[in-house]
Amino acid sequence: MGETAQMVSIAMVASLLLGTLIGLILYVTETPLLVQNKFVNRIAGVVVNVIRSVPFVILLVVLIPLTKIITGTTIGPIAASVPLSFSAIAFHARLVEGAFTDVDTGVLESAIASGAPLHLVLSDVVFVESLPGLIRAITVTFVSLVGYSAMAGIVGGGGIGDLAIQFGYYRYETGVMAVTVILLVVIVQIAQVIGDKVAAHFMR
Amino acid sequence: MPRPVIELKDINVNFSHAGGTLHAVSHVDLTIMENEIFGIVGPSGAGKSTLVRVINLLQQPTSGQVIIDGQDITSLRGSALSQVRRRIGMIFQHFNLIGGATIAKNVAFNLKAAGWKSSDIPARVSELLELVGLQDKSDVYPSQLSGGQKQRVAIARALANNPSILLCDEATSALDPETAEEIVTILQDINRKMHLTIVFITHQMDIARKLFGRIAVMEKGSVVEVNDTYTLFTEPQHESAKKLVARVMDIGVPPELQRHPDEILLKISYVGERAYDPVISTVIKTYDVDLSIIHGKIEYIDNKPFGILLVTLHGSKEARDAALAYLQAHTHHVEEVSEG
Repeated sequence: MGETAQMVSIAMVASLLLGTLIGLILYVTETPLLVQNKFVNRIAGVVVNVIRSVPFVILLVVLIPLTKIITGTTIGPIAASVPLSFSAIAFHARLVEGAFTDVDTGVLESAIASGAPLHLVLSDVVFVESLPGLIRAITVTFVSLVGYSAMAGIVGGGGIGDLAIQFGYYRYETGVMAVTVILLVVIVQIAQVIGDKVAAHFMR
Repeated sequence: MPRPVIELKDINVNFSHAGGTLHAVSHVDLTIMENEIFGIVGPSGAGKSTLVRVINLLQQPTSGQVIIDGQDITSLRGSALSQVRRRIGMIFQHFNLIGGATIAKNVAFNLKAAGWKSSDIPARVSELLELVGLQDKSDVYPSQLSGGQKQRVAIARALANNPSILLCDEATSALDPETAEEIVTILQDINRKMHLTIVFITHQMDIARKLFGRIAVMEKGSVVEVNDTYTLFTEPQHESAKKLVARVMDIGVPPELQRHPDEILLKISYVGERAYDPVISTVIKTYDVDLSIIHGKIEYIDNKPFGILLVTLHGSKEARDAALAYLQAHTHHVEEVSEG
């Protein structure tokens, strides 16, 4: 359990920081209303698309050299958090970009027409209006991460997935596997409910 | 001596898409004078919304110049452009308030945009909300307000930095007639009291009739006619203009109307003070004709009266012709309505 928590929290932090940043870059460089920059937009888009189109297990393997460099090992939860983070960052970036893009264009136009500087438009309009969407994005990324961490478990990452595989699959102890599945479902449900409640609070 | 506040010189806005190029705005030249309420009308797709967005460069023109208060702003960017934008307020058809912020925060946004000190903001916000009669709703969210109230908040917000120009993009098109009237009254008020130049886009000709001093008619990206409101409504030149004013100005001829021989159907229009001259009774007394009024109305355009009468003129050809000549000499326009 602790191993899962480790992997997931590292990847969550990475996706929240870098994923949100990349999502913001994708958004700001897209529309002529903001700082349209087709070059930057295309590069960021390609990077995100490539990471997302590679099946996670393959990403795990492909990133082994990089994992070795960053963490010094290829086994265990810390090592697993490298490919997990990559995946989560790209995943979350697209969700965040989506939440920003959903902000009403008219509201954005009105903000820009008032002569506000870009940072104020982003903080007081874009961020405020996309808040429910951003919270939902965090919930979706978290739930996906829990699932992906289980996959990491298969290839030696540890965590619940590892538990399920080692005891449940290799040793046919269905009881253990059942417990881990139930545990995972509970965690995900709680996360979803909390996420939905918080998002609803901000939908005025 | 009134001076030009907005000058648009040879504005073109082209959008390239899969099928080719769309000329949303084509060679538009317009000059809007200080303090006037200038309307831009036309059917959907005429390019009005695109054109009004060129004024504050929300839409970059493909070519042409935008001159505000004598300053060419066309190539301004960044903070220079932001500064100019603070002198131009804008309100929209769908209000465009920040849904996740209270009314007070919405108005405060424009003040923050101009760099106001946070300590000075609340007082100014109260002042502005009082101006539009919403001071008791400052901690309410936009979703809790009616359309008219939302538009009033939008006006308060747009006026936050004392702009000299207010752009209105179909500002009344999403409101019911009574609420639209309220907004029109508020705009006329602030135009008078704050010497605000207003540019208003609409397809609602009834609003145009009441609010605008001068009107530009747009069709397929070009400005086809510009005139003062009264002249545009009473003597439209271009086909588009005629179609637009017809709805407001027309008197429908009932199709069931029986036509007798020796009888012609006339549409007579009166302008200004002549609207009250007893021309009809003089005709009946002087010539050997019967004149029956089928339908009549007086419209007020820019606060000036304009009357239209639908009459049948019955009598011998000579009498009718003489009466007709008299009518033509003493009214604005006489038109014989033919069959069908």
